[in-house]
Amino acid sequence: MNKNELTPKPAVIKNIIDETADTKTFTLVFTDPEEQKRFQYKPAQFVEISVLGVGEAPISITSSPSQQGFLELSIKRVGKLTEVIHQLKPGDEVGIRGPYGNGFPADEVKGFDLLFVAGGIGLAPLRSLINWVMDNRQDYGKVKILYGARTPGDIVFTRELTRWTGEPDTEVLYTVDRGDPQWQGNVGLVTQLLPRIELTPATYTAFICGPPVMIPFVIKDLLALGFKEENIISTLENYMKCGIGKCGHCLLGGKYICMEGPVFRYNEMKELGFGE
Amino acid sequence: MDYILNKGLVKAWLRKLIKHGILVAPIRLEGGDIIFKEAFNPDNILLECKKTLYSAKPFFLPQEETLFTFRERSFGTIKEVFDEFPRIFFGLRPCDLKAIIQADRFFTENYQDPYYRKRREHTLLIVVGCNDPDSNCFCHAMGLGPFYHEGADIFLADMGKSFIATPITPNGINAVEKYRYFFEEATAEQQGEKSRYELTAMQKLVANLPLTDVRACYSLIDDEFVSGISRKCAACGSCSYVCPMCFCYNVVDRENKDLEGKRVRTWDSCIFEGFTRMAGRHNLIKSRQERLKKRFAHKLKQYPETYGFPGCTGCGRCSLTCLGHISMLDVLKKVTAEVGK
Repeated sequence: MNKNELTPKPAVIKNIIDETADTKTFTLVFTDPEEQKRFQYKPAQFVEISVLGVGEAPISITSSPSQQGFLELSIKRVGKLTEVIHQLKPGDEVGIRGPYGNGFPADEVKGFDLLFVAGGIGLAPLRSLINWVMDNRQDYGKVKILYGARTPGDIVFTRELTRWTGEPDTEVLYTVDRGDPQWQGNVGLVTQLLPRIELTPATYTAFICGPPVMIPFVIKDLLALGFKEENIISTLENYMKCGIGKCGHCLLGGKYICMEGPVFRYNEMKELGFGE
Repeated sequence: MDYILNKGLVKAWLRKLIKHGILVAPIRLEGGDIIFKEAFNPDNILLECKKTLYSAKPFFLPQEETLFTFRERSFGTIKEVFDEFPRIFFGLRPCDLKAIIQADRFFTENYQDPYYRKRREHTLLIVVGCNDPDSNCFCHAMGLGPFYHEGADIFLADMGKSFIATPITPNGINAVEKYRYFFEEATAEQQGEKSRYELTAMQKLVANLPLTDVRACYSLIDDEFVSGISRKCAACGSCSYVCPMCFCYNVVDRENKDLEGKRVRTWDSCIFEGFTRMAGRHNLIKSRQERLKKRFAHKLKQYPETYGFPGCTGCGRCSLTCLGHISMLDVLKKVTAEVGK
């Protein structure tokens, strides 16, 4: 294999959606049509996005593989690189390497009822799988989506939260940590939504994605409800630089998270020392 | 077949070999430090010397290497940069050699790293056995030994006035056969003498540390133990920098005022707080103690599980460089004593 995995491929920004004050969703198409065809991914795999002269960072893919010909990345402005990316306009180029990581096991959970628990920008990778499920609705059972954001202004993918609500056998609940005078909806942590939905833990697989502080609380509540450890699936938040299991940043418990993860079932996460 | 190479002829032989590549060998710097350095002629190289300050790692994974250059942030201008100079390494020690052979696996298994591969493709590795390991050495406990030479092109055993040369690979055999007039066939008696040198060196190593089961040792490195040594750690990362088996890297972009840029790969260290820090200041590995424990776990537990040998060659360079005098040898000595109880 002579391919140089460390050299990014250029992709053009086709569209930019302002999700919130600090989060934008970018639609990208590879400059080389052959590269676009080659680029096949699984829900929640990630890419390394580059701006030459600034650097690169791992970002999970938020579009669903069921929608071909482009990819979407939702990027929150949190540092030097994302600041620069937020200043880009449609027509500008960025570099893409990937896809990397194992992604969500979309095939293995066919036939299951699915519970999605998301916090903040953690909805981005879950959105990839949710839209995959919506586009292959006959393969999956009931869908419950619980989403928590910091404030009403921090809610991402509002248009899709509404659309999913209208899908068959689908329930969507969301909440904010702090409301505002106009806010009529739920206020509180995302875990407080759990008792409000009807769940039969034996038939459900749960997917959790959110800030590192949120995940252990959700897992604890799901275990208390009777979820089996192997039916709780989450992503390990870890810094990944090369994406190919070499640079060492994501090494945890002897595993390169970028290669064997970042998606793990809870029993696997425990083996890596998570949650102890 | 083994050959005798008179020490007076070594530099003449190397002078022939450098027609085929750049010579890299131990050289004494003005301050007295001995390091591997590129030598344009063999006059100043050391045929016999103490362990070099660093291994040969910088020639395979440079502290900073350019992956590609670009102009005006434009993807169309990307030019990948490879180092394909042939190099002849003289005076590698078994610990240096083992690390290169492991890097071969690391950078070519699963994914072929073209930067590493192109550097490595055109090398000749001439290893010199260690007759006089120093008090920090424990390569024998890591599965090597003073005359370990698996993966070398040519192995030289120092016999005082001459070397016994064993060419191993086709490239090594070629480098001897082509200049056969410098070499004589070794007698059985001389071969016997070689074994005596090896045994003497081995005794020095065993005096430093009895043979150890590294995995059993690791099981004794608990939180309390790591907490004790982590108080002395300055988090400077020099242990990783001098370690021939540490391959972790970072990738960053550099750009000048004229918008000429390059993406470079640099050494990194798991001992740095920023190594695992993410956007939003999240960090899964929170304390210095956890970072040190992770380092020991990687080298003494996960490496053996993955590769069948530790992520340490017993070169002892981390002990020499550590500001807090944290020594892998002392760590192993202490836990070996525990195992013995």
